[in-house]
Amino acid sequence: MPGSMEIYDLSPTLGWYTYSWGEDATGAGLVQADDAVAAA
Amino acid sequence: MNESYAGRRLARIVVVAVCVTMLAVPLASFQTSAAPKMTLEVRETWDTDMINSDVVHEMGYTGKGVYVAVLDTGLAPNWKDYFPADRIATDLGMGFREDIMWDEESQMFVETGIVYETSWIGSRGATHGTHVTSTIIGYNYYAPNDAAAGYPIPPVFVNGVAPDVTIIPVKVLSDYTIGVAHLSEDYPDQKMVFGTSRAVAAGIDYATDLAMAGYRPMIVTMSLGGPELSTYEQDAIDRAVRNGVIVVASAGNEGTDGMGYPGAYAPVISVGASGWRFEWYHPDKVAPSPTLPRYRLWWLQDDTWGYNDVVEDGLAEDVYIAEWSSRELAGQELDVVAPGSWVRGPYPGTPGYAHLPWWSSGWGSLVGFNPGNYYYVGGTSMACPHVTGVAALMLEKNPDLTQMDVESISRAPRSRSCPAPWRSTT
Repeated sequence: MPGSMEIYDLSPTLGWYTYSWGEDATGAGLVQADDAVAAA
Repeated sequence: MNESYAGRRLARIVVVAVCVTMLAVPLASFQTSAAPKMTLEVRETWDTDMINSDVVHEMGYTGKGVYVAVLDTGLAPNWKDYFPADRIATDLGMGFREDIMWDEESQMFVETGIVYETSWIGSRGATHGTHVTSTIIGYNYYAPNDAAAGYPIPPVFVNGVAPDVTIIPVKVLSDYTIGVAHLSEDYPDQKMVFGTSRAVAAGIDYATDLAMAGYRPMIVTMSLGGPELSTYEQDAIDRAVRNGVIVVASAGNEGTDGMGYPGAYAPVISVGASGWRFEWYHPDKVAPSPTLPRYRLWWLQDDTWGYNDVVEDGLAEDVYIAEWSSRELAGQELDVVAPGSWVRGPYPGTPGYAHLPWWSSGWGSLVGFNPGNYYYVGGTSMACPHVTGVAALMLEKNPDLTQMDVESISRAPRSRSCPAPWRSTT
């Protein structure tokens, strides 16, 4: 889901800024190593 | 410096640029004195926790016996500061470069058509490949500035996804100086890092040759891309797959403008970038001190403060896809996503290594000021090596897996709820 939040960063701005992320996404999904190895 | 001028004049070259966006958060040491090396505690990070590679390690699979050809910028000259020496196949490392030249007729830079071998050692100004490698096999880490900020972290070894693979550094992205000053007094010569399709194809062929010579299982990982697929790259990839080499590539950082190549080429296992909603700091927890930003430790798995554990049951809600991660367009195929926003790792950069970890014996302050050795770097470039590492874990268990097998397994439904299937927004 899309969203954003305020984060504090020491560099390079020494201050707060908004970090946002995109809407929906992922191809077949997030890779899961344990599932992948179990199926290998 | 005007970047658009050189870029415009390079338009006819199928430039294989580094797929990366970077958030510079230098947190390295100002202490440069060397000290004896020691056995470091092994620590996991948010990204290895998110994909459960640590669980697989406990099962006994660490990538041992698997070769990974990292087609990138090579390794930084001080790579031994970060990596166990026995994990890097220095005798198999190689570089490929194709020069470019100015074409008066087209008024463009064009390839010379001649690829020649170079060193696998990268430059001090292009350490992308070092960061990519660190995700696969892990790296030494120490940043006294963290302690200065209230988060004492002892020297640790940050674990990789497949810490026991053998890395073969293959430099296909080189430093170029684009001479445009003679064309217009308004533009100085420009330094750029990229590769050509022929150089990338040569790197793929080289890894395939090694696999055919017995260095297998072999994975080619490419955190790079360009706007189209050349016949050189396509032929090399097809040959690699035919000979049992697994090929993984980043999807690109162009968001809804679509994927780059070779990642978008159907036979290639392509990787998009995800992030963790609670990165930087967990909103439900209280910082150790109101004056101390919690972001300093969110990336490192540590129960000290209790706010940086990726909850498996919450993956579907807590994992996001970076807005710049390329979505697939018609005719393209995005296979899987992995952590790529933001991944900590060694990124020495220009102009030198002024803040080496205190146990290292590198060049230190002899070179001059450098903002830091470790950076948060974001991009599908960072996601790609996670999937490469997982493929290595799979191949250690079953060395006979084919490209189709690995891709099929990577795309199979997970045992736990993960982010919903991607829907095209175009």
